[in-house]
Amino acid sequence: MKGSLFLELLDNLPYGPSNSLVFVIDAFDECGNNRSRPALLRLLNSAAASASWLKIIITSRPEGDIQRVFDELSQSSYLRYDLAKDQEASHDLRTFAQSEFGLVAQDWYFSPPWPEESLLDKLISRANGLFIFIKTLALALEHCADPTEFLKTTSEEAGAGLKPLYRLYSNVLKSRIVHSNSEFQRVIGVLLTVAPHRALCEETIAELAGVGPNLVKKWVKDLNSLLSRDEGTNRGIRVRHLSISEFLVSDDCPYIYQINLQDANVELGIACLKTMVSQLRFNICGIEDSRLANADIEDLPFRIRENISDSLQYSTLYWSNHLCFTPDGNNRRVWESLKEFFEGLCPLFWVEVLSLMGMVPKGVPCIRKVSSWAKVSPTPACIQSDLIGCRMGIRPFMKGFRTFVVSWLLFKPPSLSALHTPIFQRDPSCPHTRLYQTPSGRDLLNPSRWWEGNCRLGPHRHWSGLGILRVSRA
Amino acid sequence: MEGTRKFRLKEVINWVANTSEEKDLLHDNTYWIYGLPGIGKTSLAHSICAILHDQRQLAGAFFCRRDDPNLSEPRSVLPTLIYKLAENFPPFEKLWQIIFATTQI
Repeated sequence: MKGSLFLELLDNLPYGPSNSLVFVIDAFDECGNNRSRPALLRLLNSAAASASWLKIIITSRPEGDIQRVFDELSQSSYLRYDLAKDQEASHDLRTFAQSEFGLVAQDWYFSPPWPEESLLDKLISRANGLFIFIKTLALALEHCADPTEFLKTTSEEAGAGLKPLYRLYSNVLKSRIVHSNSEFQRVIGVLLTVAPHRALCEETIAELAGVGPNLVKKWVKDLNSLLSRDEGTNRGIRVRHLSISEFLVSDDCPYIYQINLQDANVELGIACLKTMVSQLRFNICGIEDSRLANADIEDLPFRIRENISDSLQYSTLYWSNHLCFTPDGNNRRVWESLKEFFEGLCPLFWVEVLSLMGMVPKGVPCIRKVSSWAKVSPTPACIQSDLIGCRMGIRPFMKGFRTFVVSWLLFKPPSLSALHTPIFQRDPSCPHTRLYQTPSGRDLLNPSRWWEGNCRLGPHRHWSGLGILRVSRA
Repeated sequence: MEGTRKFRLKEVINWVANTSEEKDLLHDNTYWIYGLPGIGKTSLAHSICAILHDQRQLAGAFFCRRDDPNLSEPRSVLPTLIYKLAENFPPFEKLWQIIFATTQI
């Protein structure tokens, strides 16, 4: 619904509720970006201003863009409150710390008061009003060899703002992760870079990071104060608090644990391509008749679960996001992985997997992203001669035709004879020469609709050669 | 974090209860609470929601999360809130249906 329509609706309401109703929006800074937030914020404020019964509570960090919008607004149209100025906060923090540490003391059979008053005072002042500091500290103590010592070390780390919190995160890492720093960085790299798309479970993280699953499980357990399991989505692993991911990519993080997001994305992009090359195959879900639409396959969810691994599902959806994260990367390994992927039949199998998952619409921006990335990225000399261009796309061939083209030749085929491999011949007997079919001409007018459910490679059709036409012109 | 920020919580709830009847005036109907990461904004927001929910005054809530694609999408904030509002205030839902019936072909 458009925002203006919402305002119109509010204006047209014959009467409002007897008591005011409230919208609560938490962590507004974690939504969208500094371009999309201001418009939404202004709209919300005008909504609240136009209906006297509608109130809106917004919590956020004091980010520049949000601050600016509020600065522009008339002072009388809103209230603002800086939590750092909260007089009762340090008292609250103390209560909170006492209850959290009390549980630790119980666990360790420390006789109260633990920690001593003076140590507690010091810790409270280190926290700089941040509850997350005390929370993390209490969680870290659970797995600690000597809690009192850990508290003492922590209490000595003075600093303003987020500094003591970041020091605490460092200390947790130092005490828990002793060996395998490069493997640790790979695991955390995957964890942080997949987070914007979907949290992954330990096994999938291990697969994509190229690390043993036992190691990932151990670290997740050891870093209980920093990582947690998201019981909602796929039981994936996430950082407990956004400040932890921010710390891990900042210079405050010790070098051996620090994550470079660009490198981590490139590595994950390559891992996704490798996963697809090794796992994608013809008719992956073993569907008996290629003419069946997805909706007609009763046990499709089961077949997907059984045949398409979580790492493959993730890779097919998000490989291009990671690969193209660095706008103009000059990385030979990326190009080589791309080449490997696009030289085989993988792109066709990829579209099939997307179709089975009902995700073909996601494939189009994916291809577009790679195309435009390839245009601006410097091509390594060894690959330059093979690069035909960036003619990739998934599009219906022509209205009324029951076919559409998947054209993906980014690179010159290894030899001219490759052009005559079965995929490009009009050979109906070859199992790979399948065609994507649409159920009816009418649906072609609305490509996104039939893409979602009904593309399938079928043995009874052949690859019409339309793909080759496109490529040979290039 | 029960029992914390009692005073702030009370202030906010009082502000909610305080309605201005004059329609033409600008209302201070937006409340912006800000602070550093980890200071307890989300926890306060949860407490506010719990109280408002009990008082039947919570029209809708949206807890943004940077690392969740659904919860960091600005385009889903308003529809979520509007949907919740329609659920909680039937006259709004009725009007919404009328307008949709007339605008959709």
